[in-house]
Amino acid sequence: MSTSSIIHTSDLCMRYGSNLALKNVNLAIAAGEIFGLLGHNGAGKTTTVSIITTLLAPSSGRAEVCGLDTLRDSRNVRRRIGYLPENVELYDSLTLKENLLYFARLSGVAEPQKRIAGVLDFLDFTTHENEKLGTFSKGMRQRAGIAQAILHRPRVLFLDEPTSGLDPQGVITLRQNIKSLNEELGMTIFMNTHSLAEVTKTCTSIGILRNGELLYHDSLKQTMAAFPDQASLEDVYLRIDADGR
Amino acid sequence: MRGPVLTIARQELRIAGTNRLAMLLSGIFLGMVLISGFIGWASHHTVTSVYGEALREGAASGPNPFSTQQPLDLIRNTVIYTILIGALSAILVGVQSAMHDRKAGVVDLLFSRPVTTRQYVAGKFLGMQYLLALILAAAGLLSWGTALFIRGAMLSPADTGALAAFFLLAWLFLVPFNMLGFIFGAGSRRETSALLAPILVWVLLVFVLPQLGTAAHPVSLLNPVPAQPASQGSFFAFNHRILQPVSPADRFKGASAGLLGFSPGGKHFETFDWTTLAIIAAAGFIAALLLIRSGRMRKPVRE
Repeated sequence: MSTSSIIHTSDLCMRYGSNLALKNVNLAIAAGEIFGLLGHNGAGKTTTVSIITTLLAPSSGRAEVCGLDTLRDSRNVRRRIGYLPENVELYDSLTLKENLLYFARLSGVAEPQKRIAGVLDFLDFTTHENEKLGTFSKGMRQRAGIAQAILHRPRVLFLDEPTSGLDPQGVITLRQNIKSLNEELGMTIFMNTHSLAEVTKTCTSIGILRNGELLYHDSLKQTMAAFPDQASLEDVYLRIDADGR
Repeated sequence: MRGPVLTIARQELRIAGTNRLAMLLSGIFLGMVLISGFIGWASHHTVTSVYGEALREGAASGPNPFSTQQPLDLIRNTVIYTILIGALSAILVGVQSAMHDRKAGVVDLLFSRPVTTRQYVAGKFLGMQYLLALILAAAGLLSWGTALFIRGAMLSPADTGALAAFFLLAWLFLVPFNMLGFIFGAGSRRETSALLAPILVWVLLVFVLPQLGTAAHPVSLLNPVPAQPASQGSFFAFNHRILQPVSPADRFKGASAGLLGFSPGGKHFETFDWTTLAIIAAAGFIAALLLIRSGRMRKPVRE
């Protein structure tokens, strides 16, 4: 394992019955990166995130976050990560503040009220704290999800398809939030996405999964330099995917 | 700072009010407890009136043998309401507690926090037991008030203690049904099977199990007294010896009859019945700790 990598997987495999969803995935992501994991539907992106966030146990191989094994030391891994699922589901019958209080307490945050106020201020979301989640739009739910995920100041934030279903303004706000979290709070971001445009605007490094295999992993700069004949990341992605490189 | 178990327990109470069906059944249970006293009073009043009439017409003589009724005999029907409506409410509270988190889709978020499955189960257990305790405490107060209203006198401290002990016993009886609902709510793929499976187990435990040992007295199932041994037939006699000691409904009826004073032996404490119910309650909690898996809970619920 690279000493500077904050997320590391070695020979990660996941089998669902006879279907091998992940095949020997080896990843090393350095602290401070915004990493985008790309791939078709069913490529294994969500499975990868589920294993690294301790929600799933791999069939074989191992994953580490901050040097901690996700299986043997899952509780300490969870203290260091935040997770935003594709569809943010919180308690609709409770207000944003009540939801956040619950998750702050579960995360062992000292002075949760103060922390919630700080996080909502950071996300420019204070005006909605006493509104019930059931009344929130998709974009607002996404921001509520981010608030929940960063309450305990995690070192790594996992986002599963964060822009899925958002309107353009929602995408812009989310992008700003992600960049602020990375630049101002120093969080490493691991993002699963279909959106190549989003990756181009947000990420510092990318990985490409196809049918459970990691085809490619490098910094965005290096990637674009390595394919000088390709005009955009979309072209690069299609080329790598076609070559199975 | 509050730990995850207490945080989850508190959250359980916060969302309990949204569980409308369980709240409705609990309301019906409380209503039946309230009515129970009047049913007890009415039946006693009818019997003594009939006896008085018989005395006047010379068909009977001597003092009324029914006048020495124990004060708590008034609420004997609450035993049956606990077995029927109380247990169903406890099952529903359990099913809905697990289903609420699954249907809200928060299971992934919950288990991405530093919370173990056992802490989650323990927190849910604590919250649900607090809720059941609140309902039973309300039932106890209603019973006490009903006795005061009907008798025109307060229950003695000894009877008040026996009444409190009865509702403690009722809680012990309800715990395994509550855990049964919770286990199925956490593990079933469909909400309907999560509801039906524990109800089927409840039917087996409350109706079939006592019946297997006492085919001669099926009517006793709906009476607040334990099933009597079969008068004939080695099959039923054997079953009675083996199954009755572990039949929660019979143990609850036995201990209740001793506490409320309507058993043939008068007021007494049935240590065996109490111990059996406590063991079954503890087994329910341990089963939930061992059987509930976060991976299973993450699977989507089909309507």
